[in-house]
Amino acid sequence: MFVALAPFYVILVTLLVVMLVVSFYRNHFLTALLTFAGTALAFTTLLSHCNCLPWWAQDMLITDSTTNIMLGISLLITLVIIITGYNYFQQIADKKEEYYLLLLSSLLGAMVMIAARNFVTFFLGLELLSIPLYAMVAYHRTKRESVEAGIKYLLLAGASTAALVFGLAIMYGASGTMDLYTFAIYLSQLHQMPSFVLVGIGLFLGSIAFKLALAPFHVWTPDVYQGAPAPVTAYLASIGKAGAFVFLLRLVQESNISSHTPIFYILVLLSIASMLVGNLLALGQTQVKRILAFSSIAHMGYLLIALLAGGNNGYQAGMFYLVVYMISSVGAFSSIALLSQNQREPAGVSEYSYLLQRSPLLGSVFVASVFSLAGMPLTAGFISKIYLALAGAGAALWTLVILLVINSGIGLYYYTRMVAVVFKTQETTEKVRVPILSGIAMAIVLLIIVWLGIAPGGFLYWLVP
Amino acid sequence: MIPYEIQILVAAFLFAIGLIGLLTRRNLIFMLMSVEIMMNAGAFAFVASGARWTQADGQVMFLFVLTVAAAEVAVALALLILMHKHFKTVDTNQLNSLKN
Repeated sequence: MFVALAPFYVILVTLLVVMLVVSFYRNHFLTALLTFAGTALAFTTLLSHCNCLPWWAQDMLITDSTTNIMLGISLLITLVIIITGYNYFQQIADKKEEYYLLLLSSLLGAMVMIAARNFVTFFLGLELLSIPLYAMVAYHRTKRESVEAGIKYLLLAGASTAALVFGLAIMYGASGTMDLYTFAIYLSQLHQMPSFVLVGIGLFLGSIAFKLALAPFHVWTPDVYQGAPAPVTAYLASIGKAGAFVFLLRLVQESNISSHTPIFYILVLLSIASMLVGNLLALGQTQVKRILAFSSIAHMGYLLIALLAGGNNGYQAGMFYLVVYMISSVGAFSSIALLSQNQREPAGVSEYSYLLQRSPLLGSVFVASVFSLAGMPLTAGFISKIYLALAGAGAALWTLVILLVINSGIGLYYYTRMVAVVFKTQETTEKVRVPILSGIAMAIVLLIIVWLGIAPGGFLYWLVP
Repeated sequence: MIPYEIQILVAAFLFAIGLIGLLTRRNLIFMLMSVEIMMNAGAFAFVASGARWTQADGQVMFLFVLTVAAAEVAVALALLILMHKHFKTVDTNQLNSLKN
């Protein structure tokens, strides 16, 4: 009966155990090991497919196949981040252990968001995800950039949370329900949307757009991505976006707004703005983390096409695109984390020169991830983009599909610029030493990206609603 | 009873005060206070909405918002101290070391 909530319990218990262990005995390896073991255990509990929930959780959380798939992907990605982050945080002189506490509580928040079916759980999950993230972004306490990124993220995220609370309050005030599905029914039965409701939904969408880094709510993204430690950026770019998107997906799928309603037009505008802003601003960037930040803005714009397409195709395309995006960005940011030496991450594009020669493994993971983000054939990003375009075309969203194609073309410029330097060779290079466990984790990421790019059938079969 | 529209208007007014403060102030402490005002405006709107449907949910949500805001401020003040250590000021205009 409680099996459905087992991952949540396991992460919660791990969090408490790690907290106790850290307060009595500080040891980086032990902390990382406990965190890893707990996350792995939470993942294994997912394998017992159970969609049942105890009666008291049914109003608050939902564990359908969407939840289970996203939880599984999030936990797997967290495992990769823990392994690569261990090597990264070894370089910090003191206080490495709290990172794992923050990571676990943030992960718990993301999981609650993914499973949320009530405004209350969504809000609590969002805050449980965000508040540890402020501290994680500023984790390099001795670095100006990290602290600056933390403060910028905190101020803007705080404002967006306030907008979310106000928006949810209006949505609740208008409909009389905090339940996602009841609210969706209320929305779909409205003939003419009152401006009062529209204000609430606008605030709500603005806040979600902030979390997903959609233009024009994207201003924080490049600075925070650049200033945060690379494993935290990997986390922020992948898992930080899963929950908000899944909640929005549920709302849109249930309320049938994919007709000509104001919400539909708001989402179209957000999508177009994100695609253009993300790709055009990325062209002028010279720092890899900033380029990837702008690319993530563009990717979230693409992702909205699946949302707008609606129906089963839209659902499948959206979930697949999100999963592929998460895996690819973790691959890219984790390579950056493993490349950093003496607390310094390689920043400019030129610092990635000769990467394939310096470390064949990291080089190939970086190339595969960036190609996957660019949507090159033989990588997962290609298949997911095709599904996205098909879903968009199926729903006759021609403007968006054409913009998707044009923007993918623009994107190729800056993606190729990043990858081109990696292939350079020279006589003597300094080899990068990759620790064995991180090597295995990165190899698995590489395999998944290529496997989903060649034979996505098995995975797509899971995503059939 | 005060009409629901008036209650929401008061909340919106409070929200606007917070937003204007956030946009015009450059001192981090004042900006954090403005964010708090915005949060409380949202929480107030929840209480109003709960009262409209005569449900306790709005007030429960108010307590949650209050708790979350407190947790957020705890992290924010820690970051404020760090900022003062690194930048020797709490003026957010000085936060400009991250650029291309």
